[in-house]
Amino acid sequence: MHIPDGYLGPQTYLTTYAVSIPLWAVASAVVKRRMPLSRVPLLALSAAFCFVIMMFNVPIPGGTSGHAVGSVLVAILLGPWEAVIAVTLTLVVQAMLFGDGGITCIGANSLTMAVLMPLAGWSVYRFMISKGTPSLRRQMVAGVLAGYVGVNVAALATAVLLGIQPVLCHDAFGRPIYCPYGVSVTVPAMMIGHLALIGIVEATVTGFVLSYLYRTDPNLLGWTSGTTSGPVPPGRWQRLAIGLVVLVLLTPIGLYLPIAFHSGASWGEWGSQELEARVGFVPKGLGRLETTWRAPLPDYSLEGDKPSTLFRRALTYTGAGLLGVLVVGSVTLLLRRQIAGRDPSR
Amino acid sequence: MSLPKWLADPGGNPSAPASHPVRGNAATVARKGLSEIAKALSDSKGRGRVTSDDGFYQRVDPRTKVVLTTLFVVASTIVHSWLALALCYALAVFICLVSNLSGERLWRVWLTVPLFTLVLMLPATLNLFNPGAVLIRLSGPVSVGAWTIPNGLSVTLPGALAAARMCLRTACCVTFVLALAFSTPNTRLFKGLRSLGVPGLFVTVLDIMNRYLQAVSQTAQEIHLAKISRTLERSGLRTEHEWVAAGVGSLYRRTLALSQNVQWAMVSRGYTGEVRTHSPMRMDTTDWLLLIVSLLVFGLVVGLG
Repeated sequence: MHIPDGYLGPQTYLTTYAVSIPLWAVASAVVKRRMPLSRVPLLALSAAFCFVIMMFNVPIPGGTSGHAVGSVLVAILLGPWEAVIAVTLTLVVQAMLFGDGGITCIGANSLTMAVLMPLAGWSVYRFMISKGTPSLRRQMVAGVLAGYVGVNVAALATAVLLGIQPVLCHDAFGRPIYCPYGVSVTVPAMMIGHLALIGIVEATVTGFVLSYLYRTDPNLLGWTSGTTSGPVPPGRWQRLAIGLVVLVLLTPIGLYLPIAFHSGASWGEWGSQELEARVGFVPKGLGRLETTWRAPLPDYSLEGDKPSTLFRRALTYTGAGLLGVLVVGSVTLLLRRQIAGRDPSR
Repeated sequence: MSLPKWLADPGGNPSAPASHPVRGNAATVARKGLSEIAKALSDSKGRGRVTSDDGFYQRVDPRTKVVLTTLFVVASTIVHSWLALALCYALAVFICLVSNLSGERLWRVWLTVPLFTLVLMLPATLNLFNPGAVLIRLSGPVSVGAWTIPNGLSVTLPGALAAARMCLRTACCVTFVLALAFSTPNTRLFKGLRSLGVPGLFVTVLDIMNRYLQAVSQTAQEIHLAKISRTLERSGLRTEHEWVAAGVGSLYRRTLALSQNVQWAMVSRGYTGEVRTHSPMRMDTTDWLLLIVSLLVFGLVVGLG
């Protein structure tokens, strides 16, 4: 997954640096706040640990073996922002001293393996064990899922970064200058291997190590404030609820701005009438499929296409936003309850 | 502790002493891991030690080298003309030659990365990705189900050129990075980064990580050795996974203990979290001259496009 120099054009690697640098700054600030500077050796040795666990071979059914990246495991053990720093530094050492991954691609590699992978994996893990001390089984399942999701998210991001090169960087004849394969090649090429093999390796290492630590020394799984198991403090739920309500109340801006700027529907979201006005005809398949499903609240309003005042539309738009939040929230809570309900320790 | 050759070899050796009876897939996987750790350990022993003290690049200030490397790695990724890329590569090779840089590890990385790129680029040489003048015809019309290639598969001139350019570009970048890594002791390289404005926390963590990487690798090696020396017969996949988990988990606990010891040692020496370095680095005339020449060559290379 380490992208070498020369595979990404400057547009891409500069952008990934522009995205990564603020994330490194945030990670650095969070780590400084959470971890006293006198514990810097812990961070350094965690980076060394991260480097070394990549050397553990994991047997896979079929007689072969593979390596784990370990970002998700480090995120769960130390905290997500600590993992961002530890894995980034591992990547820097690999690039500068071992030639593994390019210097210009440190931003891109860090974005995929040190940011997206640990954050995605850690989020899955936290979702799975969001309340109380989990059972051994749930700990293992959470680790397996977190590892699998984390590494596949990173692989997908890498595939996309490589796959967009022919579109972004090509010569006057349209020939690619950097990675020559488009997303139609890079995504299957990366994802088949990761979904079928490497994902299993990452999942195995993350799940089994967590269950081993849970059995032998459960304190290690809750030693940082960010990773301790336990209910989310009530203050956080209130802040989340207030934030959601504010966002819902702001949704009518989405109605007002297109009118103010005289713009039509979002690109690619045209209805058959607007499409016909643009290209002069309605594609047959589109016309047929458009009527397959009649939404109960078309265009987030009660009136659908019928004319209505802006105030009334704003009211129904806000109501639709509120309804959406309630439905999504309820489904999420139900799912969580389902998962937690199967756990005998709960 | 150094491993005997027969033990570091992932394929095993029939002449291995009878006191180390190793059989089955389980032991092979552990051996593979052990071999990689042994390689990393030997690399980490060699890392930070320059391949030769007597060379042009070794005498250059690390800050100049970091700036030069960054300039030319960036140049190698933004220029497209053959002449500009060839100039970059010639400069990188020239630096390695006048600095007496050599060694097995340098050759391994230097050859592996462009070769890996070549393998990845092979499909791009085909008319499927880069249509154009045919160099080598590989097959007649191909038909697999509904998928057909009426003109057949062939290696095209634009495809071959694109692949060659990618390999040259990658080789340029790798050569510049290796020249920096193999001519600069790590401690000086990190000090150079610090004085170039890289935040102290990052450089300190990088420095400590680099220093203790060998200790952590050694622990991992001991875990693998313990496993191999106790493996008598093939075990199931689940047992193997449990061993990997126990190994990584045990390594994590030992890493925590080591970090605690390192922290106490640092605190006992007066470390309060503030990074203070004594930096005797001084840019002399040669460094400034090299920097100016580098900037001029960079301008020339970018100008050539």
